[in-house]
Amino acid sequence: MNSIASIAVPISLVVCGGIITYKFRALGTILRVLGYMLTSLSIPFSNLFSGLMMLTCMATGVTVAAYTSKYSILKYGSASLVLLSDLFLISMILVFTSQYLIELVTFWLLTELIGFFLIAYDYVVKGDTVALYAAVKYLLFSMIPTDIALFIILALTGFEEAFTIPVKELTPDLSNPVILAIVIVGFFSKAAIFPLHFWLPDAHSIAPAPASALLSGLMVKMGIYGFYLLSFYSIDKSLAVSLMLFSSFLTVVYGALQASLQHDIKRLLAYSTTSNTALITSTLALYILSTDRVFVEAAILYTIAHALYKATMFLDSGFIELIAHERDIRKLGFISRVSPIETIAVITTVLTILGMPPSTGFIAKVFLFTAISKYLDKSWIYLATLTIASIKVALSIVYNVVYLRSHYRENTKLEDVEAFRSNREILSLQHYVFTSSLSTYVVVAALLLIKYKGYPELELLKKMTAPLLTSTVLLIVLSVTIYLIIRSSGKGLHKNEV
Amino acid sequence: MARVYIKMRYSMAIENPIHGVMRFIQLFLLLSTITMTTYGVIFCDAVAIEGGFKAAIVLLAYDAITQSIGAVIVTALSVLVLLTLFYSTHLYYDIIEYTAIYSMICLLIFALYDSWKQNYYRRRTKVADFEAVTLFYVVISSAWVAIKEGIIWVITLTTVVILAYKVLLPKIKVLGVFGLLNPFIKFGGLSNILSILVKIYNTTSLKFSQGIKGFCKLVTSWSEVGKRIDYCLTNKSIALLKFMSRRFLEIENKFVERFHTISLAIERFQYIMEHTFVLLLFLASIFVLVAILMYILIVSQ
Repeated sequence: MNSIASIAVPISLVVCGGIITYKFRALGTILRVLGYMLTSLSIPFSNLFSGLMMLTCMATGVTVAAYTSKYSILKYGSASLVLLSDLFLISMILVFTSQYLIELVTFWLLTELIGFFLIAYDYVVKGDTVALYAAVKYLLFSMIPTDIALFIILALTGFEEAFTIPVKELTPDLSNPVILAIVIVGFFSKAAIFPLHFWLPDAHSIAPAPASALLSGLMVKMGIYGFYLLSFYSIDKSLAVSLMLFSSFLTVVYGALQASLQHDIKRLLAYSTTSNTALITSTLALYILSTDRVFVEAAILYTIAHALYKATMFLDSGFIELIAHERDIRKLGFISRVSPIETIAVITTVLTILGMPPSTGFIAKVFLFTAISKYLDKSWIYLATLTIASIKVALSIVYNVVYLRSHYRENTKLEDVEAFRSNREILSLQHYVFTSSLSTYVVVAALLLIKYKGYPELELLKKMTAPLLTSTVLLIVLSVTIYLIIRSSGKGLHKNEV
Repeated sequence: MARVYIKMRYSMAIENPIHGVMRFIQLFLLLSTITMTTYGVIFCDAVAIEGGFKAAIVLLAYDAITQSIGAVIVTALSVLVLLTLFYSTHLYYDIIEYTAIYSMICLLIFALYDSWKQNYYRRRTKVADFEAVTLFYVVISSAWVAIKEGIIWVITLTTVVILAYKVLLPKIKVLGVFGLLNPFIKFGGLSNILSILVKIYNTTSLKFSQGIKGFCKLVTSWSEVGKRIDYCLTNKSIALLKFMSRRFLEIENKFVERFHTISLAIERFQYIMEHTFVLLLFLASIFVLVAILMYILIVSQ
């Protein structure tokens, strides 16, 4: 009963907030943020993957909530996007908290359906046929294959078992290689992994920016969740691992290379998503191979890091789109002059995914590489994964720098900075992006607290406490010192001026 | 003096806050790297050393943020080699030969990278020196992870390497050659190296013409011939170098175009795949419908 209340109350708050936003934006936003924060009460400590996915949903929900209402009014003239994106996030939270298979399938389908409307949102509001094309593509290559996979599992489980036995304790017989391959390809399509990866760049670049943040940060992770659930069932491990590793290796390199070549900021981010989810999938494949929990921990931590990174980056792309009416990197490069705060937020976010301490990216990278290197002498597969992960890191430097070109480039001519700055309504979005960029550090603190409260298995995180605390203390001391120096020298300057 | 410096920085930070914050982040990354690595060395904590190494990698990537795409690619390649080397130390755990090779390769990469950076950035700051020394320190400490011989080992090697870096490396001219390669790496920057060559040629020819001046006083006609040859050679060589530069630029553009063509071809392949998939899906659904109808009409009766 308590567990139902702990999830029903926050959801009600979010939905009510979404409705109220139409009339009273500030009140509605407060209620929604409060609702997302309260979802932390229902984080299941018995299940690491679901629990941490809930935490990610909560953090993303809080950071995206305020931005969405403002963005929706500025771009579409009404707050209609708010309720849809809230429902999307809520249905995703319900997927990760599902106890039984029937719940999982129901909420999964609901999430996909709302996702479809989010991608086709520009068609619904403005009649943009490109959005409809992207949505249909998503329907064909993401929804249908995944639903086939889910219905196969449902059919093999049995209707009664789907209602009564917890999803991880089910025993569907997936030993048939054809069936297993169909199920895996189904989850590939959700996680946008080769050969069904191509729907993602279109869908994520067409959807409104907050929706792209949720789609790219969280929805593709449902495919990862599917792979995680597969690891509990009786499957042909060698076939599953071979398929997963082959496709994910290809996608890691292909996605990162394509991202480096893109000129459209949203397409660049979309391709980088395929690359990142593929890396997470390969980590889960190694879990299936080795049955060592450290790979699950690495996968989930990388998922959190990537979701928070993508949320901020897509919010930034929305800001750029609104203020410059342009998404081509070659024609941008002046955002740092229009909004330095925005650029600072993006630089810090890029650094988190590259592994700057004490961010989630830092923890994720250390977990990932430590987990892989632990097994290097066992099989060549681990060495291959290490090489692919290193290539991914190297290429991520390239495409992130390419993205930063939209903010900062030498010799960029901008005639009238003030004309851009005069649009204060759009400029106010920069504060939400900046807040979003800080979420990654807050989540680290939450992770450390949660680790001590609920997840003793995160052994490596315990070992990392000292470096994390060291860098956190250093960051705080350095920030305060510089602030004091600037303040005192500022006073000095003013005195001199007087 | 310090106050003047701070005031200067302050006014610069007000004028350009991004510059100020970027400096702050660089400082933070440097201090994090040193603190974590030192913590790891003192308390024999491998995870802390790994953390220091990760921070050092971010520091390398961070330096490339405001640079050209050529600099970014060089950094990305260095990071790729360093990551692979660092994590494969686990494969050869306790093998001192591997550790030695690992240290040597890492140091060489850093030395080359640093030499290239000095040449590329065309400025040498105290922070850059400090950063290079920090990176060496991290490599030595991370090599220690593999053999765990103790803190003395780290201190001795760090001292040796820093001394070598400050005293020996500047004397090895060969490393400077790597710096000269940077215009090749920089896209469209081949003209830089050619202009250097032109400069060298001009200086030499000037010296040559100055050298023969005394001789020319005696034999004027020879001097005129020399001057003409010099003039012709200079003009010709400049024209040749300009031509070469243009050709190289064309080749480079062709290469980039080819790369984009490949990318477009892949996208076209994707497009075909999508349509094939739709067709297959359509055929499969018809097949399923027919099968259901057959079942209802024939089998169930």
